[in-house]
Amino acid sequence: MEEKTILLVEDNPDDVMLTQRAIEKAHILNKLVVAQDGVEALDYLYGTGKWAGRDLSAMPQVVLLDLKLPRIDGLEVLRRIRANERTKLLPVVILTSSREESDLINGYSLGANSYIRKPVSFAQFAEAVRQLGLYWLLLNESPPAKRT
Amino acid sequence: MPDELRNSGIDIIGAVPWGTHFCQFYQSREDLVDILVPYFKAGLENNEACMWITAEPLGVKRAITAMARAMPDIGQYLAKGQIEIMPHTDWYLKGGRFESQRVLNGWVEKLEQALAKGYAGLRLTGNTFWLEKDDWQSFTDYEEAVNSVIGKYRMVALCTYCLDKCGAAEIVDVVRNHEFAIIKEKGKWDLFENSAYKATKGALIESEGKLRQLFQSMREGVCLHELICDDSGKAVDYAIIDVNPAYEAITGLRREQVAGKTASEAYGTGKPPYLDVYERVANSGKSESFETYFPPMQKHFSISAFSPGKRRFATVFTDITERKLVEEALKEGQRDLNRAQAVARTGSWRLDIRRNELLWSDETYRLFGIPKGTPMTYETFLAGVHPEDRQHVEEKWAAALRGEEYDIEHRIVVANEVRWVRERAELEFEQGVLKGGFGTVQDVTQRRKTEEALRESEAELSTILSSVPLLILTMDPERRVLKANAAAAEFAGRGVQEMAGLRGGEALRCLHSFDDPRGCGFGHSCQSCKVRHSVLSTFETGDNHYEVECHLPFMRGGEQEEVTFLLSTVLLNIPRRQVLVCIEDISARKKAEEEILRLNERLQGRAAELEAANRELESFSYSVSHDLRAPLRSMDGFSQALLEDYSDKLDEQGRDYLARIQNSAQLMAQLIDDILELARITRTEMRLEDVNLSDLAHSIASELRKAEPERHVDVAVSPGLVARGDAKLLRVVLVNLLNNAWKFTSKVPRPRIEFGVMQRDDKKAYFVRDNGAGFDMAHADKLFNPFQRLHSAAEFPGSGVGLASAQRIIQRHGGEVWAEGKVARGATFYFTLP
Repeated sequence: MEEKTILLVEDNPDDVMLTQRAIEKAHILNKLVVAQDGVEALDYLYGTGKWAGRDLSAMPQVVLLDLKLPRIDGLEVLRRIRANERTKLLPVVILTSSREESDLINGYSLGANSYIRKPVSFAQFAEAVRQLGLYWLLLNESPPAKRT
Repeated sequence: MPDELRNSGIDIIGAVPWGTHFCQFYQSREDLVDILVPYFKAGLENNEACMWITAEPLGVKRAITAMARAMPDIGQYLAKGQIEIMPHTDWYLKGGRFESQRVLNGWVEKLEQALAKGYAGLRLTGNTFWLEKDDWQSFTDYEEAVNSVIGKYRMVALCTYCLDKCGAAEIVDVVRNHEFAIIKEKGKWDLFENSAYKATKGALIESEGKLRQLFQSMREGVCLHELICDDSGKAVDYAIIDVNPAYEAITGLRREQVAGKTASEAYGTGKPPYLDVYERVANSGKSESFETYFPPMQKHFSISAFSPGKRRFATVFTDITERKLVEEALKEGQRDLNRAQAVARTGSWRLDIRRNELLWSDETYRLFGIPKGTPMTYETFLAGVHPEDRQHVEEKWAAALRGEEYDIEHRIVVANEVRWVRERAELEFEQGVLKGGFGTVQDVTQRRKTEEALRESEAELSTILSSVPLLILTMDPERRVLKANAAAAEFAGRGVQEMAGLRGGEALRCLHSFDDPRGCGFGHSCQSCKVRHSVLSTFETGDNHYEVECHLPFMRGGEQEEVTFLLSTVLLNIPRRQVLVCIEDISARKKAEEEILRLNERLQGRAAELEAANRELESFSYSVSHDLRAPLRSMDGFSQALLEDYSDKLDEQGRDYLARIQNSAQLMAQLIDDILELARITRTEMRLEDVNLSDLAHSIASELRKAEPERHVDVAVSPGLVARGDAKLLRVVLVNLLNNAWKFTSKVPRPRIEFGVMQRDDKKAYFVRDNGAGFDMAHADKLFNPFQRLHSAAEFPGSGVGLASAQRIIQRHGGEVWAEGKVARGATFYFTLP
C-alpha cells in the first residue's frame, strides 16, 4: 500500500513539535514531512532543490499550510499548487493563527480546501488535528494521482 | 285751340300757332319749291307729321328731289312715314271726283295717326292746280270748311294756288278762306293778312312772347314732351319737343341735339326714363314731383311733371346733385361720427336750455347702457353714476355751472358692471345765464384698469427691487446711474436718490474711480475694467452679459474692501436705451469657497496620514494575531505536555502552576482577539440597510440559551423594532449588550432581560435592561472604556472590551450610548440611532 504522507509547511519549530504531538495523540500514523518555508514546500512537491530526485508519483495526502512563512508565504505556495497541473487537485488545509477576514477570503479564493485557525489551547488544537486527520486521511477520497 | 307756336320755316311768316290755315299764290315751279321745302323742313325738324299733296308743275318726283337738296336725310323721314308726298289724284280726287267731306275727314284721320305715332301734329299742303272753274265753288266751300275746322286741330295747312288760274273774284275767295296769303311781288315774297286772323295772332304773339321769355329765362330746366303710344294706346316712348336754355345748361345737351328726338334716343337709354310717371301725368293731367338720380348724367334731379294737354307733358327740373352730395356727406359725416365715437368709446351730448333738450349721441347711450333715443335729463344721467361718485359729480357740475372747468373721471354702473368714464363739458353762457353746452363722455375703463395693473406691478417690482440682495442699477450710455435699488445704495452707504446722476463707479465708491475726479471710465484702471467693458459692449452690440466674475476694490464704511462679484448687464429700451446692471456680491461666498478649499486640502493630508496609520495598524494587528499567539500556543501546549508526560514528577502545586500558565495564555489569547475585534469594528466599512433589531435580539437570545441551557432567563423582546444601520455591526452591539445582561444576571434568582424602545428627547432610545448585578452610577462614565471592568474576573469573567465595541459602533452610526444602573438593582443600556 502506498504510503500516505502529510506535508506540514510550518516555520515555527514549537508549532511543528506541537503538531507532531497532536498527530501522534490522534493516533495518526502517516508520515509527516515538514517544510520550513514555502520554497522547501514547493521543492518537495515538485522534486526540486533539497528534494531533487524524489519520486513524484507519491504526493502527500494533505498539505497543512501555514500562511506566514519566510521566503515564499503560504498564499503564494497555494497559488502555485493550484496553478500546477500536477498538484492542482491536491487537498490543502490552511492551518494558521490568523483570523483576518482577508486571509480567509484569499485562502478560499485561491482554492484552499479548508481553513483552520490554530487555537491557543493545545487541547483544542489536538482535537482539531484529530478531526482533520479523520477527515482528510480516512474519509476523504484523494483525487487519482497523476502519472508522468 | 292749343296756343302754341310752330316754326313755319318761312321767313316772312315766322312762327304760327296750331290751326293756322294759309295760302300761297305761285306762278312757277320754283315759287313752290321756294316756300314748300323750308315749310316741310321746319315741320320735320319739329316732330311734325307732314303731308304734301302735289300737282303740276311740281310732281312727286320733283318734290322729293327738291326736298333732298335741302335735307339730304329726307329718305329716312320718308321711310318712317313722317312725311308723305303723294299726287293730288291719290288724295283730292280719290274715287274720281272731289268730295269735300271725305277730304276733310281724311286730314283729321291723318292727324290722329300722326299723334298716335308721337308726332306733335300735322303739317300739310295741297295744290289746287287741278281745280277747274266748275269745281271752284265746291272747293271754295271746302276751303271755308277747312278754315273753320282746322283751327281746332294741331294742324298747319298751306294751300297753293296758281296765280295765273285765278281771277280777281277767285283771289278774294282764297284770301277770305285763309288766315293769310303769301304772294311774290317783284321777286320778293309778301304777306297778306286776313284782318280777323291779325287780331287773334297779335294777342297770341303777346302771350306767347311772355311765356317764351319766361321759358327762356327760367333757371329751372324745362322740357316739353309728347307721349308716343303703340296701337293699343300704351306709351312706349316720348318725344322731346322743346327745351329751354336752362335745360341745355343743366344737361349739357344742345337743343338741336334733342328737339324732335325720342327720349330713349336723346338720352341714350334703352328705356325712356320715368315713362310710367310721365304717362300717368300725361293721361291724368295731375302733376307729380319726384327726386331721382339719373345715371347717364350722373346727376341728381328734382323733377316736376305736369300736363299742358292730352298726351303732352312738360318737365321742370333742377339739378340737385350738389345738394344731394352735401346731404350724403352730411349723412356720411354723421355715420363717421357715430363710428368714430364707437371706436374711440367716446360719446357726446348737447344741452339746449331754451329748447329744454339734452341730446345724447348713440355712443353715449351705449356707454350708459340706456336704449337709444330714451329721453334724457340730468337726473337720469345721475342715476347711472356710481353711488359713491355721485356727490363728486354733482359738486363738479355745480362748479361748472358757475363757470369752472368740467373735466372729471368717475364711475358709472351699467348692468351691475362698473365702468370708468371721463367727462368733459363746455358750457355756454349768455350774460351769466346758461344757454347750453356740449360735452363728451369717454370710456376710460380699460385705461383705468391698465393704470391700476401698472401701479400694482410697479409696486410689486419696486418691492422686489428693494428687497432683493442684488445690487441693481440702470445706467445711461454715459454710464451714469438712472436708478439704483436699496441694496446698491446700501452697498455704497448712500441714499437711493443720491445715486442717480453719478457715474457707476463713483456711485458705488469704486476705488478706481478715485483716480480721476470725473469718475468711472476715466481713471487708468478703468480702461481694463470688466464692468465698464460689459456695460459698453451691451450698449454697443445689444449683447447681454451674464454673471461675469469681477473683482474690484471699493471704499466701504471708510475702509478699503476688495469685493468679488458677479456682474450681469442687460439692455433695456424702456423707453430710452439703458443698461440694467445687476451685481451679486460673492465675496463672502468666495471666501467660504477658499476656506473650504483650504480645509479640503488639509483634510486630504489628514486622510492620507490616517490611511497610512490605518495601514500600519492593520499590519500591526496582523502581526499581533500571528506572532503574539504563537508563543501563547507554545506556553499552553508545552504546559500541557508537561502535565501529560511528567505529571508523576510534579506535585499538586506544580500542576497548579502549569494550569495558571495555561489560563494566562488563554486569557491573553482572548484579550488579543478582543483588541483585534475592537480595531476591526473601527475599520470595517458600513453598509446601511433596514435592520430588524427584534429578530436579531431573538436570535442572539436563543444562541445564549443554547450555550447555557441550564440557565432560565426571562428574555422579553419588543416586536417590530427596525432601525437603519449596518446589520453586522448592530448585531455586535446587541450581542455585547445581551451577553452583558446574560452574564450579570447569572446570580439573581429570577433573571429577566428586556429589549425595547422608548422616547428620549425626540429620539427613539433602544434599551437592554436587566435585573442583574447593576453598577454604581459613580463609575458610569468608565463603563465604556476598553478593558475597564467594574467587577472582578472571578465574579464575572470578561475582557471589558464588549461595551467599548458597542459604543464605537453606535458612535460610528452617529448615535449615542449611555447606561443607568444601581448596585444589585440591575442596569439599563440605551442607544440611539439617527
